[in-house]
Amino acid sequence: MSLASLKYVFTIGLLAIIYFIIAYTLKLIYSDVKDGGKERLPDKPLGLEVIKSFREGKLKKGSIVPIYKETTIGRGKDNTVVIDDPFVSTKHARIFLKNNSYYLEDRGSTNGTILNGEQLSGITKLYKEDRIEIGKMIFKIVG
Amino acid sequence: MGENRKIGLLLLIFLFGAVGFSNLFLLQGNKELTPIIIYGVIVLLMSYSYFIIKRFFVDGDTFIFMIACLLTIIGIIFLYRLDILNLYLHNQDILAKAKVPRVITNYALKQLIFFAVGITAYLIIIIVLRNFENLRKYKYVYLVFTVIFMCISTFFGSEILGAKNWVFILGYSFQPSEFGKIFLVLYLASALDKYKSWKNLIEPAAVVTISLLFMVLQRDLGSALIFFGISVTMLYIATSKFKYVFTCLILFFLGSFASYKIFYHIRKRIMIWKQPWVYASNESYQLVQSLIALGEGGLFGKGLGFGHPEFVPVNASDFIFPTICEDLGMLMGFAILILFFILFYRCMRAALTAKDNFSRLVAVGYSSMIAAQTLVIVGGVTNAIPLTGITLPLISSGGSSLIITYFALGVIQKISEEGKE
Amino acid sequence: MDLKKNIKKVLIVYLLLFIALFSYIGYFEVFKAKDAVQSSFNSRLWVKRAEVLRGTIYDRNMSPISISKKINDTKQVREYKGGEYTAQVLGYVDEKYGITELEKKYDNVLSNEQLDVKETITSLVEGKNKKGHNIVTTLDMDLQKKCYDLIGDNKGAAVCINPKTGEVLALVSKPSFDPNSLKEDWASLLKNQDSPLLNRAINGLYPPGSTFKTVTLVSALTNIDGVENQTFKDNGKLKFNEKEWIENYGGAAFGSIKLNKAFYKSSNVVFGGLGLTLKDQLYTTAESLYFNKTITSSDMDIKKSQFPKAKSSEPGNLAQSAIGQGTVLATPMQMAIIASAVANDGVIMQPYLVSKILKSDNSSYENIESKELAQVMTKETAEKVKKYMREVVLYGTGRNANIKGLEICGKTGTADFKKNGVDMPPHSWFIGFAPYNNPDIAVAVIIEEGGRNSEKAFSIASKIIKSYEK
Repeated sequence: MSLASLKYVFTIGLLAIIYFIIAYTLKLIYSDVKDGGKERLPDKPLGLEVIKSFREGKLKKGSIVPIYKETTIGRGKDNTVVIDDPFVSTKHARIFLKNNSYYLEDRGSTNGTILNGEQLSGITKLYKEDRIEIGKMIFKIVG
Repeated sequence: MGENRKIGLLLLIFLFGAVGFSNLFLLQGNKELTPIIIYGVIVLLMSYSYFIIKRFFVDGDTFIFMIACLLTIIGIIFLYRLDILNLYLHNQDILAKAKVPRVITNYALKQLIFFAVGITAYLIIIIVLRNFENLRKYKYVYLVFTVIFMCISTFFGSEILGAKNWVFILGYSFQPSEFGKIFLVLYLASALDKYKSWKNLIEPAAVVTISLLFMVLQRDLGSALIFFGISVTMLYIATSKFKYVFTCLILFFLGSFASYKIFYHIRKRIMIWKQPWVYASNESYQLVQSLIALGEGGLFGKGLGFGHPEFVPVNASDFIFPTICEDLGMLMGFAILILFFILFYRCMRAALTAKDNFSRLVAVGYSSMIAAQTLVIVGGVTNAIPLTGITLPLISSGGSSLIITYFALGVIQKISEEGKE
Repeated sequence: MDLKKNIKKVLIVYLLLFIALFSYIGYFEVFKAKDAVQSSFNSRLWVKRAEVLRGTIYDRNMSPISISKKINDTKQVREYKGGEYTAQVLGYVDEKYGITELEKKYDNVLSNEQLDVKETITSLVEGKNKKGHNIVTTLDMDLQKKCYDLIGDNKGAAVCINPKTGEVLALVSKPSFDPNSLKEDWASLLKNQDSPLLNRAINGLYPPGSTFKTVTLVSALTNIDGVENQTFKDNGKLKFNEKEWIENYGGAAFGSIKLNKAFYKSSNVVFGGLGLTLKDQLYTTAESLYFNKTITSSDMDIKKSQFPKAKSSEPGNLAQSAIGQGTVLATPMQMAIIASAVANDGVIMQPYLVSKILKSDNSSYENIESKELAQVMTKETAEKVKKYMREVVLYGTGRNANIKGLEICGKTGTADFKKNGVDMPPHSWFIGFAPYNNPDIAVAVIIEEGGRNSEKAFSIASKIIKSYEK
């Protein structure tokens, strides 16, 4: 086939691909918009499992606290997870959901937060099996 | 997950490029590897940038980036197609022993370089820039720069193709009005940010009017129209008062009417717009050739490389749209317009989620800059509105325009990132 | 939030603008694209025309008149062997000066090697030879030359048609130009006051003068019972009021005469009077003979001749129109087809220039058949008018130019006209056909400002007919 006849193939190809891209993009945007408006639970909701408890109380070893859009941890009573430990600051840490992923943030605590053995600095994404140490409490992220 | 889908989009864009560049490869008389190399560079640039964006912003919006790149790729494909043509014509002229053989061009390679620079600027902005809101403090800096860029051309500019909006420095040409637009938006955003009553509008109104005046004096009517569009849009978003928009439109009509009476070159444009076929041999030659190319293309075009852009003047920049339509038809033209609108939509969405007024206004400003420019130039070459000498963003050949556009897109992306927190 | 609504409104406004742009482009594509593409500013057509060797235009005897030759792959040169003789009827094709007349009408045929699906398939299979189609015209080159030469130094036109078929045997306009030297002559051609680029035969409008009496005659025979037996009183003047009247040429008065003598003596008094009698009916007859109407032809754009609708309150105008003066204007082609109607039992055949389309190897592609345009008078009327026209040549104003053995029939005419209010020497006209039995050529000749010597046009016409009938 000469180039002259090939041109029809190329033209159809280019036009088809670009319109497919347009349709695909519109579809992606549409589902993006739909989700953005609602507050929906993430695909894989995570939870905080107590591995080692500071003291027996509400947070027993093995109990699981589900993490919703935002979970705050600290000594203050307005936190989602209250830890009555003098080594835990009033506003110690925060786990929040952002676009289908969970992040851990230290809120300027005195003694810091330890993630997987390392001192947490800034904001880090959380995965299953991650270990968080706040004060004397140890949590694990579960699915 | 959404991630895979977005990678899917990236791959589709690569596929498009593959088909386009292989078509170009086959079109060449001497099978040079250049189109393949260009394609390779583009793939590398895009992949690398994509992953950088993903790394810094896990849930970053990549639509803006990908659509902008797709449009740029369309541009580079056609610019290379023109390079092939110009090389062929040059050789033909040499064979026919013409006194002044037509020049060989390198639109594609130049555009590729500017593409790389643009992407770099884009990435730098979204990674390095923090707290965009802080930039609203520099209102007077923006004002000064706006005015400087607006009037540089009047005093130091050279006239090209009837419009005095190019400045040559050290052998390189750039369009100050392009940079002026960037600063205008920043200025208007910082000025309108504190809007409380119409008294706050006096200063920005004056700045805009002076800028428009300079544009008209330089005969850069296209930029004037775009400035106006951006200003009115930002005004409405800032004040929510339709009456201001209405007033601006009235002033615009009055101003246009007055300029029509005063300036011969405006009367000429209107004359050409109304009756292009009457003046076809002289004044409206460019427009007529553009319309012929559009008509020749029909719905599906004649095939990449089978049109005759040698008959369309300025085919690499202002008239790239009819050049594309002759080869790939109205369907391609429509596709490009749709893509621009999608890009505009995504950019405006950043304005929706912006956390402060200043950012919001900047996002709106830059979004409407891109949309308005597209409407004005496509409207002009199809004779829907009078023709003006501006370029199609991202697609037309031109370094300043490409870099400015990626800069603006970077800022918009940054605003959208910050807005999500 | 307020702002969200605003942004949405702005989005919608821009969306509407985009949609408006879309619609405009769509509208352009559907309605205006075709005109754009066919504009003479579209150089692509020239590229295409240059690629294919343009076809040859032949006269009816297969002698080539316009031929093209290729210089290289993208350039060709056209030789117009007919030169000044055929410049206006065949036209020329030039990148700078455009495409005209027959070259334009048949541009598609001449510059295309594929005119239909069958030919497209053949060229795909057998490969392209890149040669356009040839066309055979109805023109007789010898006759064409003769007409042109006979007009001599005068300005004017000549049209020769075969009344039975409508074939145009000759179409001449003078002054003319040489299409072979367009570039050199263009500036002076444009400035020339005598309009050498004008095809007078089909685009020149002149007052027909006494030749129009043929139409008046037809109208009288059709509408006035017993007009042939009527005796008219011609005392040299037809008065409308104290100040206005019509005279015969030279002040002649023919006394009491019948219609046929009034015709062959060309009495303005009688025919002016007929105009007053016929009133509207003359207008109807003129229109049925294609005045104010387009003479359709696929090969030529013939200008419309004009006959005014006069009011019965304006007797002067009625009378003037009846003798082909006033505001009556006719092209030579118009008068030629009137003559051919009389010659062909009242039926006008559509005038055409091209009889055959051939392939580049001159094998047959398409034959074009004659077509009837209309029956404009009854056979009986045509017979009568034919007889009257014979008498013009035998006894009347045409007898000095009668050529023995040729049996020419016709009507002479002298048309007065003014230029810028000044009386000019009148045009000299002749329309007619030959031979009386079974006519095979109808002619119309006009010599601009030929003078009162109406023989000028007739003598030329009779020589034309003589050379044809040889």
